[in-house]
Amino acid sequence: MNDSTLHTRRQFLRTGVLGGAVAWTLPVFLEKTFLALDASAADSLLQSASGKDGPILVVLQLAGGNDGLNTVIPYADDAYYAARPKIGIPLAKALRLDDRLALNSSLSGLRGLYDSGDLAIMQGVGYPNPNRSHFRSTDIWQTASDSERFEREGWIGRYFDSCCEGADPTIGVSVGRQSPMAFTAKTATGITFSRPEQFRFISENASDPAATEEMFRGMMGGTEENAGGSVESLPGQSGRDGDTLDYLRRTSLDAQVSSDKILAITRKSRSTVSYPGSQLASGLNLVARLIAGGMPTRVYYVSQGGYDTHSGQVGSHERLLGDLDTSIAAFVADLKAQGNFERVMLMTFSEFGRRVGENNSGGTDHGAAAPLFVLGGGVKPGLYGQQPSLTQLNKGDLIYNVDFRSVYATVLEKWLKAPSEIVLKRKFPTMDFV
Amino acid sequence: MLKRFPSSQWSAVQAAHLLNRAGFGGTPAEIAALQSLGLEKAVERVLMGAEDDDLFPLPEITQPEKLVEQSRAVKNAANETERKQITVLHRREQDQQIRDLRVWWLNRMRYTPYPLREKMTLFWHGHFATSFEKSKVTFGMWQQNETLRANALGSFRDLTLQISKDPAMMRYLDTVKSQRKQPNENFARELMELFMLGEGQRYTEKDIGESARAFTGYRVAPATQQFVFQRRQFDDTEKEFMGRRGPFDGDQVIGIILEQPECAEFIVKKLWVYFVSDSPSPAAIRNLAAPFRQSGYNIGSTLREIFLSEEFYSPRVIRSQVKSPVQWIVQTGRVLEAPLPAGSALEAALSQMGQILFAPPNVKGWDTGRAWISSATLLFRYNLAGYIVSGKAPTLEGFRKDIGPVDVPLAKIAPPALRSDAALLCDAMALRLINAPITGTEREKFLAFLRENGPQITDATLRDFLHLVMSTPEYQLT
Repeated sequence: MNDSTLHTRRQFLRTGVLGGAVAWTLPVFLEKTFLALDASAADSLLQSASGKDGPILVVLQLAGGNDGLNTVIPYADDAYYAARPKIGIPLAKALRLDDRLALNSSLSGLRGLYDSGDLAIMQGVGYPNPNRSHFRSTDIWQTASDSERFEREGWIGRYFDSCCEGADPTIGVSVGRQSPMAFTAKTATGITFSRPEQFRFISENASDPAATEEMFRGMMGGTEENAGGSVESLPGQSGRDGDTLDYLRRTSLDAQVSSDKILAITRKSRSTVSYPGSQLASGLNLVARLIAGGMPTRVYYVSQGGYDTHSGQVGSHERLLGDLDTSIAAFVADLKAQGNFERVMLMTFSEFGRRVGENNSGGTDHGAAAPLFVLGGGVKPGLYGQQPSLTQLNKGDLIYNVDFRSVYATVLEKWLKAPSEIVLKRKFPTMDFV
Repeated sequence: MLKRFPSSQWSAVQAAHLLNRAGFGGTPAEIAALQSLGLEKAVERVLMGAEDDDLFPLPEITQPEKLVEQSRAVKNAANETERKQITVLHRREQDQQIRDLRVWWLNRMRYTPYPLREKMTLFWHGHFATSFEKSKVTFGMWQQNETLRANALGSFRDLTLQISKDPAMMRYLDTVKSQRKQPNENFARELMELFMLGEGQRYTEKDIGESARAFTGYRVAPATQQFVFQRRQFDDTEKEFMGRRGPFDGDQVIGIILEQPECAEFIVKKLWVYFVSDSPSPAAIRNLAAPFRQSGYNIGSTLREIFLSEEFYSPRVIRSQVKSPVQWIVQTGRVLEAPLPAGSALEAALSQMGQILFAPPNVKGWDTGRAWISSATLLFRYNLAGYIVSGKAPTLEGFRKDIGPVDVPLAKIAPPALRSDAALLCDAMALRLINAPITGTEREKFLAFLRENGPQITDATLRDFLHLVMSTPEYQLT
C-alpha cells in the first residue's frame, strides 16, 4: 500500500468522524485491516503528512507566572535592587551574560547553550493591556488573542487546522493528563498522554481477552451506527449538545489509532542520556524517545508548574529554574546524541512575569512582560528585544516591547514554514532568531 | 421564573436524569421509586437533607491542641537532624489523614441518602477551590468541607462570609500574611474574579488593591484553628471601592459585591453549567438571577427552580454532560451496587483521571466538561472500568500491589432470570449503566458477544460485557 492510499484512509477516517454518522458505516473488517496496517507500518506511515525530517517544535509552559526579573537579571540597574531589597540577586550569585544582564545561577545549562550558540533570549515579551489573572492571561497566550478578545481555538490548534489537514492525530502530542488550550482545534486536537505503557485499551484481564479486544476494536470508539441504531432512542440525545458525544468519539478513535504506534515506538526507543527525576524531565524524556522513534509529530507540549511565587520565593524559584535547566540540558544532550538536535526547537513561555517590586512576604505578585527562551540547532543565538525599563512602569509592571505573537509568527513562518497570518489571524512582524 | 416541565410528562427518563444530575445516579429501583413520587415531590425529595453524620464516622484527624504541641516539639528539637525527623513524621501523618479524608468523603457521596448535599459540597469545593498542598493541614480542609456542607443549599451570602474567614482559605490565598502596611492582593483578586463576579466583571485593578486593604488583620488562632481578627494589622483607613468610600472591612466589601447584579448572574450561570449544560441561555440566567438575589442568595430555592424547569429536562440536556472523575467513580459504584475501590485505588484512579479532592490544580478549581477528556484520561476510564468489573486485582500502573478486586454483586444486578436471554440482559444492563437501550447493529454485535459462550450467560461473559459497555463514549456521559 502506498503513501497516498494511507493518506486517503486517514482522511477518510477523520473527515468521516467529523462529518458525523457517516464514519460509523465503515465496515468492521475494513477498520481492522486499517488498524493492523497502522500498527505494522508505524515507521513509514504518514511521513507524507508531516515528514520524518520535518521541523519539530516543543512548547514548554512555565505555569504560574515566572518571575522574569530573577530569571534574566538586570544586575547593572540600581532600580532592580531598589525594588527588590530582599529578593534581588547580586551579580556575584548569578551567571553574567553581558555588561547589563545575568542569568539566574540555577541556569548553568542554558548559559552553556547561550555560549554554544543554541539559545536565544527574548526580552520584554508581553501584549497590550496585560491581564493579571493567571487563567485569563494563560488563555490569551494559548489562543494568541488580543487581551479583550475571546477565542475558542488555540494557536497550535489553528496551525493544525490550517496546515495539517488530514494528518494523523499524533501531529500534536501533549505530555500530561489534560490537553492544553493551545491544542484546541476545529478538527485534529492532537493527543495527550504521559504513560505510554498505559496508553492502550487493556484487555488481558478480561475473561476472554481476544473476544473483548476484538469487540472493542469493532466498536471504534462509539456504538453509533448509521442505520438509526445507537445508544439513543429514548427521547433525548443528539442535537446541539450531541457535539460532546462527537468529541468523545473522536477522542476515543484518535486514542485507539495512536496507541499501537506509540507503544511500539516507546518500547524500542530508549534514551542513552540520563535524566533528572522530575516530572518535567520525564516528560521531556518521553518527547525525546518519540522523536527518536520517528513519530510524525510536529508539535510537542510539556509543562512545569509552581511559578506562582507570592511568598518566600528565592529558594523555591531557584529550585524550579534548576529543574527546568537540568531537564532541558538532558533533553538537549539526548537530541544531540540522536542526531536530531537540528530538527528541534524548544520555546518556553509563562502567562506573565511578576511585579517589579517585591512584596512583604519575600515574594512577588502577578505582573506583565517577561523574557522567554528559544533554543535549538536552528536558532540564531543572542538577546532579542529590549530589556524593559524598571522605572517607567505601567501600574508597577514592566512594559512589553515584543508582542508574544511576533515570537509565534517567527516560529510559524521561519521554523514550521506555516502562514502565520492565517494561524494568528493577523500579520505580526517576524523576528530574526530563526 | 423558568418555564416548568409539565408534570404529566414525568417518566423514568426524567427521574433518572434528576438522580444523575442532582446526585450520583441510581439503580433501576431507585429510579422507579423517584418516578413514583411525581415531579414536584421527587424534586422536594432530592432537595431534602437531614442529619446523616452518624453514617460516616470521621477518620482520625490531628486536632488543633495537638497541632500546637507538634509545632512546639519542632521548635524545641535538640538539633537540626531531630527537627527534620519530627517534621517528616508530622508531614506523613497529615498526608495519611488527607487520604483518609478523601475516602471518607467519597464514601459519603456513594452511600448518603442525600446526594444533592454532597454534590453541592463538591460544587463549592471547586468554586472556593482550596488545596491541601499549600498548608498541609488536614484539620483545616475538613473544617472547610463541613462549612461547605452546612451551607451547601443555604445562603450564598453566609457561605461567602464564612469562607472569607475560613482558615484553610486564608492560608491558601495568603490572607493570613496580609499586613496593614503591605496588603496581599491574592484573596481580594480571586474573590471578585473567581468567587463572586467573574473575570473583569464590574471591578477594576484599583478595586482589587483597595479591597485587599479591607481583608487585613485576618489571622488564624493556632490553639483553636479558628479565625481571629487582629486589629493592629487591620487597615482602618478609608477605601474607595466600586464607587463607594468608607473605612470598609472585609464583610462590608463582600456586602458591596453582593449588591452588584453581576454577582447573582455569575453564580447562577455556574450552577447552570454544573447541573444543566455548558451553554446557558441568557434568558434562563436572567430569570434565575433576580429571584436568587431577592431571596438573599438562597441556593436551594434556585436549584428547585432549575430541577422543575422544562430546560433541565430538555432532550438536548439529558445524557449530554461529561462525568467528572468523582462523578464517574461514585456513579459507577451506585449503578453497579458495588463498593468503591479500596482507598489507595481510589487515590490512584482519581489522580490519573485528574480530580484529586482537596487538591484542585489551582484556585480556579477544576476545568469541567470536555476538559475532563483527553486521549489519556479516556483510555484510563476504559481500563479502570475493566479493573472494577473484572473481579481481579488491578494491573494498572500506579496502583499498589496489595489492592484486591472490587466485589460487584453480579447475581444481584443480573439475576438468573436474565441470564438465559441475551436480549433481556443487554437491555437491562444498558438501562442500568447508561439509562438508554443499545439499538441497531451495535445491539446485534453485543447480543452475539453475549451468546458466544452458550445460551446461559456466565459471570465471565457478563464481566467482559459490562467492561465493553463502560468502554464507550456514552458511558462517559450522564
